[in-house]
Amino acid sequence: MTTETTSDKGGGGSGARGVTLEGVRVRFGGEAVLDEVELTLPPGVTVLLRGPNGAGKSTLLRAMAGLLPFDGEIKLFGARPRTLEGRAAFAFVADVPVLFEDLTVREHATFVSRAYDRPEAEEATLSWLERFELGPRLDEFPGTHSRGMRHKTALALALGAGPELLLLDEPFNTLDADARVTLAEALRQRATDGHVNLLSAHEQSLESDLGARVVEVRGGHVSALRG
Amino acid sequence: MFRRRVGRTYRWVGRTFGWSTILYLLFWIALFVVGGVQSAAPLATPLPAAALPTALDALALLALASVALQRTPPVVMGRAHAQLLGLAPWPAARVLRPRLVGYFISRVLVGGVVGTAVWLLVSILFALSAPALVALGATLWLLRSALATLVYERNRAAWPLLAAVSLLAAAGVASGPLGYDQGAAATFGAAVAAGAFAVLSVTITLSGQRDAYPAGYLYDATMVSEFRSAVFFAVMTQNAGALRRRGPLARSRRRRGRRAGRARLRLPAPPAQYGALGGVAWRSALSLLRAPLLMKLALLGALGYIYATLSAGVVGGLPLAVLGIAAGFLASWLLGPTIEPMPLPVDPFARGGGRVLPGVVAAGVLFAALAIAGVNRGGSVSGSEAALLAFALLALATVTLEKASSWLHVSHREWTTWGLSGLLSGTILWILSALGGPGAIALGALGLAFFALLMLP
Repeated sequence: MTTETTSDKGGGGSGARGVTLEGVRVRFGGEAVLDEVELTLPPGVTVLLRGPNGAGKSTLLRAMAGLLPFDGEIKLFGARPRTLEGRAAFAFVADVPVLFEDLTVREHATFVSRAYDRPEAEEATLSWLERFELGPRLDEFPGTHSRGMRHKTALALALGAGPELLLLDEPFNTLDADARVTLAEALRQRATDGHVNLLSAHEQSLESDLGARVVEVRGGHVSALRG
Repeated sequence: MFRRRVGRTYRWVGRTFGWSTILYLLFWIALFVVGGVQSAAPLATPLPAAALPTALDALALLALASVALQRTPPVVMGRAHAQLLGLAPWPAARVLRPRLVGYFISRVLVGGVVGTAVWLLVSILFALSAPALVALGATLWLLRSALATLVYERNRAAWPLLAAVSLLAAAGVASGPLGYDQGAAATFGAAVAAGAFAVLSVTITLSGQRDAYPAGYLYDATMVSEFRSAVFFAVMTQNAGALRRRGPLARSRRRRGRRAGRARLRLPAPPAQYGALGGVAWRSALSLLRAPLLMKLALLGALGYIYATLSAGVVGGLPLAVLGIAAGFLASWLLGPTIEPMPLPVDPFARGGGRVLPGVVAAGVLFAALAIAGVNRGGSVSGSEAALLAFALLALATVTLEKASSWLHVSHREWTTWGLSGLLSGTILWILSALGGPGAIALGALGLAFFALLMLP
């Protein structure tokens, strides 16, 4: 079972200014992969989801992104994940990044900024792509890129869109050393700006590198937020 | 390239079996077949002709039911296919096309042989001559192979399609509308159409899969690759050679791969104030612009044909419904790409409008140009009426397809999706044509399309 509800560090109500999960349960074929998850994430935190393979970390992130059906309630800054407001509140980067194979990297920046209706996101994304050293590859289709490069593109799109909540599934796994430093800096800055970052990861060092708090996921149950 | 492959195959067959052995076997097989056919005589008391449809039904259903057992890839692939599917940015349809074409041709031949054998049996047992069974056999085998391919690809459409085809086959053979006992021209026309339809469905399914290959092909290609060469490292070594500009595999494929990897055609980005609608429409327009030239020409020809048919006065009843179904197919090429599975905050109107508008507007411009140029086949409708009706027909079919594919979460290039939306559009047009003339049909269709775009999720 679960769980714990943290107090709201940022003040204000928990629902509208943070992320809340109440009694969330996800089943695959009748079996509960996540069971009665209760969690509250206040603004301005980076939270690491820890746990063995198959514990339910990715499932939790996908449910929060509205990509899996679930019982219970998830509120992302006051909105449900599948509503337009909910979708505008977060960006999700899966462990195998999803990109549009018919668009070049530069066109991704344009398209995603229009989809989020944030014109400034295009420049921001291009700037993140430069920082991830993808500047010379902007006019290429991501289908020709390595997994690491695709991951960088997806991360740049998510960071550039500047949502209040960032859901990242094992984002450091395929990155080179420089990109890991860049991403860590970005996540720290986002938390300072009052945004929420929720990511799954296995590296022990990330807790201190990111100044992150930790949630243990094990056997479908979610532990207390600590750190 | 082709000559080299033929030469290599010729030498391999010669080394492995020996051409003299093969010729010797072929000679005796031909002798036995000719002897068997010549000695075949009808039964003194033929079986009742009424039993023939049932027997043919059973045979057809048995052949179709065997599709359920399909577990192996329809085509054998090797190292090069594994590389092209897994490591290069080639669409699955392009990688598999040569093998699939060979596969389907061989199935037609096998089906033809089976049909000939059945024809022979029918003439002996029932004392009936049914040469059309050759064409029916070839078509049935082709259909069976196309369905087996869809089953292997784990295509969701495969099972309902199999059920539908089985029912049609049962009904068709039982009632004998194709004239299996006469070899009528209709039989061959229907056979060719059904075969082409089956093959087209497989091709379209694969064409829509640029980013998500049917996984089985890649796994099986890799397995075959490993079994065949027993040196998977050879794949990697060759690939490394390709990257270092060496190796026999490298040069042409690397060049083509690089070309495929960069955008050649671009469109300026839409102004930011158009938001998500502008963004989705821009992407749809890009997709149309970057479609293969041959496809664009075929699309133009098909759109022109629709206009010409309408201007010839075909503006009502069943023919209009059939045009609606055809428009469903054209809509699958006119509709922009989906935004799934990325969870973007795009509302249904922006998504639908953005995907539909560029293709439909382009078609509208073409129809208007044809009307202004005075193209008219002398029917009872004017050029402008034909253009308006063609535009409305396309708009309705494209909107219906967008809604169907979004609702079902199935690609609009899947033939089941466009088939379904085409049927729906055709039915709507049929009903509308009973209520009024071309103007009323066009207005009704446009109104319904706009309503669906605005109100449906």
